[in-house]
Amino acid sequence: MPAAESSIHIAHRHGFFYGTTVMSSIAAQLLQPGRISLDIAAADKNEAILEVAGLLRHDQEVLRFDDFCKDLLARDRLRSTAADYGVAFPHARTDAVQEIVVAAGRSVNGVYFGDELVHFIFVIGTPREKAGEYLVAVGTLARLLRVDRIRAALASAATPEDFIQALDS
Amino acid sequence: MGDVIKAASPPESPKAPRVSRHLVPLLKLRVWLAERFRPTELQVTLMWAGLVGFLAGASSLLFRAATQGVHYLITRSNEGLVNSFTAMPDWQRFVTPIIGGTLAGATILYGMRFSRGSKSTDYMEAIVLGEGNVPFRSSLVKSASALFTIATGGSIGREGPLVQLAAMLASLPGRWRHWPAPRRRLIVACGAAAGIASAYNAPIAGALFVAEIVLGSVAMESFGPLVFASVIATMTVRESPLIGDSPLYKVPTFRLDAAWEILPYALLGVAAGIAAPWFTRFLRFCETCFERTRLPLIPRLALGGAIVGALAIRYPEMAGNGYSSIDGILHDKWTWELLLGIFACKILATGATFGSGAVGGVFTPTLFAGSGLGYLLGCAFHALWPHSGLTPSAFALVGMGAFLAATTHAPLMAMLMVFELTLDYAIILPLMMGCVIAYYLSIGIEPASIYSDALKRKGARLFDEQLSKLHVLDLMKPSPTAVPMTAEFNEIAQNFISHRFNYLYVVDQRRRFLGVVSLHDIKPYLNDPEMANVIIAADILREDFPTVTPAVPLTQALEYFAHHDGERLPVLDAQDRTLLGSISKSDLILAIAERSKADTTPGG
Repeated sequence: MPAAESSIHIAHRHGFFYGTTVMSSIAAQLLQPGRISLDIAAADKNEAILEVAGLLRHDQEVLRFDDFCKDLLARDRLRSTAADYGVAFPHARTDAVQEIVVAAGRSVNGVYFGDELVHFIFVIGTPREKAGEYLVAVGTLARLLRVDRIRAALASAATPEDFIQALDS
Repeated sequence: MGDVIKAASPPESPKAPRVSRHLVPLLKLRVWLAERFRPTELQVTLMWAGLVGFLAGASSLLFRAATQGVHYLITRSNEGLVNSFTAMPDWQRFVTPIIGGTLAGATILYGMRFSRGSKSTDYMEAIVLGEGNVPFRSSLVKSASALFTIATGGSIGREGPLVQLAAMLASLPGRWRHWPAPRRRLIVACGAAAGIASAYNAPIAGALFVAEIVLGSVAMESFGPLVFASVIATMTVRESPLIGDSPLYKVPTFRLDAAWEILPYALLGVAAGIAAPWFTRFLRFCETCFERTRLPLIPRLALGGAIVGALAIRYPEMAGNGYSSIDGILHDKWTWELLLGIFACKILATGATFGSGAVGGVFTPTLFAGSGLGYLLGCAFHALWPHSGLTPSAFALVGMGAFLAATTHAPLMAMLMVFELTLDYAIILPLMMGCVIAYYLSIGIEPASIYSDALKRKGARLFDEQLSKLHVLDLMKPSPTAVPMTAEFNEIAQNFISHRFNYLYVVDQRRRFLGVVSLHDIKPYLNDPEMANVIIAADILREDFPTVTPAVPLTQALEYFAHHDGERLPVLDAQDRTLLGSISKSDLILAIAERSKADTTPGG
């Protein structure tokens, strides 16, 4: 995590001028194999969010898992967290985590977030006071996921390691 | 796959619309500008000052044209006032100012019925005392009344209505945009400066008139916009063929042959310093006399007109504001015996017009009184030393400045005014000498200047309003723009484009303050329209933003600004944190500039 933090700090400082190498590095460092599910079962949006968030249930950075989940759903109720290209970023700035955490889930059939069919769900949690880092994380993932080649690589990843590799390519 | 679609949950939350593509370059430009230029409220005020200057210049031209029109309708003459009065038969010389006075009185009497209440229209009061509001209708009524007096030979200056109109136009943006009082006062001051500048084709004097007499300060925070407005106003009137870019008075060449020749000018300063306070007292005495007659407004103004008319039968040269008479003096048109008569009648006519309550300025009549005094003294010195370079018209110029300095208590403005009216640099040494001596003598004789009424009340106000006694509430701009927590990137971006602030306030449904969105924070997402679709205000909210309450003293608010890089701070209700308004750093600086000069103003 410290390495990821430093990259985020750099990215935050440099605003939108940071390149794809930094972005890939941030994304790869944020994700760990244990925080990735390549075939989530849920077909409902809320269930899907909770299933992906469940990967962080025992993460040491998550202080109160239930609160974290509540905040994630509350945020999504305010405004859908689905972006384009079949990707969603359920996220929350919350006191329930002490460092930035990211978990990813892949749904082969897709899950509807409103009228958007979503295949990749990235759950992000950040401490409330670290709005800047949170923006870098969400921004970085959104930029990478916009690239067709990366989405294709993520769709065909056979293992969590491949999944991370696809983001770091 | 189809089953999966059916099984998917129905849409629960609204999906954010796409950020329109054309918004992104605009927002980028906005960020670029904000980061490089960061225009403060003061800089924006400068832009408004420019607009006010233009409006003042345009209204000045319009007023001049209207004066000529009314003059033609009443006298059937296209000539200047003095020429048309000279060509008139005696009865018409007598009747014309009476008609003017009657019309001027009727305009005020009936016009005021259409204006709201009895609020003061005095621009000086609006600047130094009030909220910077110059009433629209009353100002128009007063200007229309002045139009009749001036067009029919009343001895009063057109700079009065010109400044009034300009100040009224200047107060409009402040009222529309709900500026706090200090900024409204400043922009009205800009209007007044532009009015003077356009009346006399004298931008430096225009700015200094307001700075020295009305604001009592040449602090750059307020002086800059005054200068800007004056310059634009002057440029506007100079575009007119009526005025052009030549000085108001064309003067014969002036020279000092020997160093000792400055001494007579110093003596002129002494004479002006003694005479000017009596001129001021004479005008007030006339006012009291007219008040004692207890005549209603229309007959009173008609009586004023009758006095002017009666004097004009003998001396038609004294008709009007004094511009032509000064020109006559400067070009040695009259013998000193004739001038003495014109001079005495002109002073009487000014007393009658001003005393009867006619609307207008006393600036031009003051210039005339000074030039007449100077010329007469100059004749005496010329008779004593006929071979020296002491010419009566040079004395007239210095007399103008010295008399003006002594009546207005603004020597700097007086020096520059005469310099600008004549654009003759050679006159500057005797002029400075005369102005300063006259000023110092006059304040010893009469502590109140010709504009003292407003200034006296200003002193009383400043006594009550020391900076520490002023609170945030006094400068607060109500109802600032705010967005809800759910505001999308699109809405946030729109707000940053249409407003100049760098922090957008976020409130809940009951308008309680939650925090701000910083323009700097959203910068990385300008290239990411998809990303922007998932960001709402709640995601990028800064909750730890400094806030103030209405009861916080300005001194304390200043400390908050010292630790905050933004231009504004949100003002919240102390109990429930409802967003009431915002206070800007520029308004605070203006308020401090106003107060600090109060500490240095004698008697303030």
